[in-house]
Amino acid sequence: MYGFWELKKMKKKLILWIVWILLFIHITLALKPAPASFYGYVAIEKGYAAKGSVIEVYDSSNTLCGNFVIQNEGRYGLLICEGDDPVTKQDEGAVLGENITFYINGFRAKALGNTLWQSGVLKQVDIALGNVTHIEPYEESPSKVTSKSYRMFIRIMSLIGSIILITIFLWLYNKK
Amino acid sequence: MKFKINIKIAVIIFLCILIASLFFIPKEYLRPIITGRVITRVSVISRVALNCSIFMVEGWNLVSMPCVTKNNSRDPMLTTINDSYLSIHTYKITDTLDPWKSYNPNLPWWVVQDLDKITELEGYWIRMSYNDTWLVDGKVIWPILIPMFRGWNLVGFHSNVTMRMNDSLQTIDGSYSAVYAYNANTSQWMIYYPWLPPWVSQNLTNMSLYFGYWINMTQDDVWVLGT
Repeated sequence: MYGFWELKKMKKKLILWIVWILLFIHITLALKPAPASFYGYVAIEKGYAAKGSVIEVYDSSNTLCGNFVIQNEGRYGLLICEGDDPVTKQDEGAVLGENITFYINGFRAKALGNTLWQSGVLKQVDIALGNVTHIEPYEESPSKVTSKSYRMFIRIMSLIGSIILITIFLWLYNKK
Repeated sequence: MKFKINIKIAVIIFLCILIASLFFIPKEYLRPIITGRVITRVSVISRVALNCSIFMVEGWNLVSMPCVTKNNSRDPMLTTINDSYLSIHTYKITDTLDPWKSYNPNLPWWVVQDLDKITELEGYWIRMSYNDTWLVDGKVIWPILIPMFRGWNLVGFHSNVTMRMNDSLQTIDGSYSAVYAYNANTSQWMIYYPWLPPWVSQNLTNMSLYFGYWINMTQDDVWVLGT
């Protein structure tokens, strides 16, 4: 049994604790989290996924958190995967550490990379259908002349032209 | 047959090709080199009266208020949405112990609420109970200097014209790695990473007035807007 003074001391302590806790109560933050985003190469069997293919991502409770329609053959991104809004009861997306599953045209794809959801983080995750363990980076067809390579070509040609003209000029000059 | 070439014509052709090849030299090589010259920069600060009007939808809105008023305390600034907002939050990266500053008008008095002022430098998450328009009559100051710190910064945007990402972030070029915005009307996040390969399609291409932006800085810098 506690004595009168002991009980009084305990009461005092308890009040002090309550005051201390009340002083430091802050609003518990329940904000809409920034999404995670993904990009990478997409392979179907031994080829690359065609333009128009649909990539979908689901969280572990099978909620669709984002999708992307391929615009450049063999590559996707940015694919934005929403996070779950803690304010609402609905499941809008993933939460920290949740594993993300990728689908290509409705078929579950093999993900080559870190698929754990993290708010505000960008990750490169290559995805594939079929028995693929590694996807080679997609390279543009060499026959396609980009404006950069065309500029370089013109530079080289003008340099060669200048050299030829100097040679002709010197040759004619010496001949005289 | 004897092939004769006029030397004068050959020299002219040669010079023409040399001049033509100048067009293919990258611009950076043609920049004038300034040595020992003092450059004086004069910033003219303009204050333009503006009726700021932000339409916000039910749910979360990521916005910024560019209008500056004499009294930027929270309550007078939020008068026009007094009945419709549920909570307002901002993120001060400099306060490492408690970076989130919030206010919820429905919470009891003993809860510590630490968002007291609405400034033009910050971005705000505002949760609305129904669609409403946030109106503030004030002045917009141009240019504006926003100090940015390493890590995620929640900031406002101050330009009366919509600007391309590269143009609007020119003054912090090389110091940031990502920009996030949230379009509440479409419930869509918009993202921009400046270092991604060009084949990655990014949906954040412009910066606009009244939007709030999350900018991830790789080093401290100052963002100058509205020059």
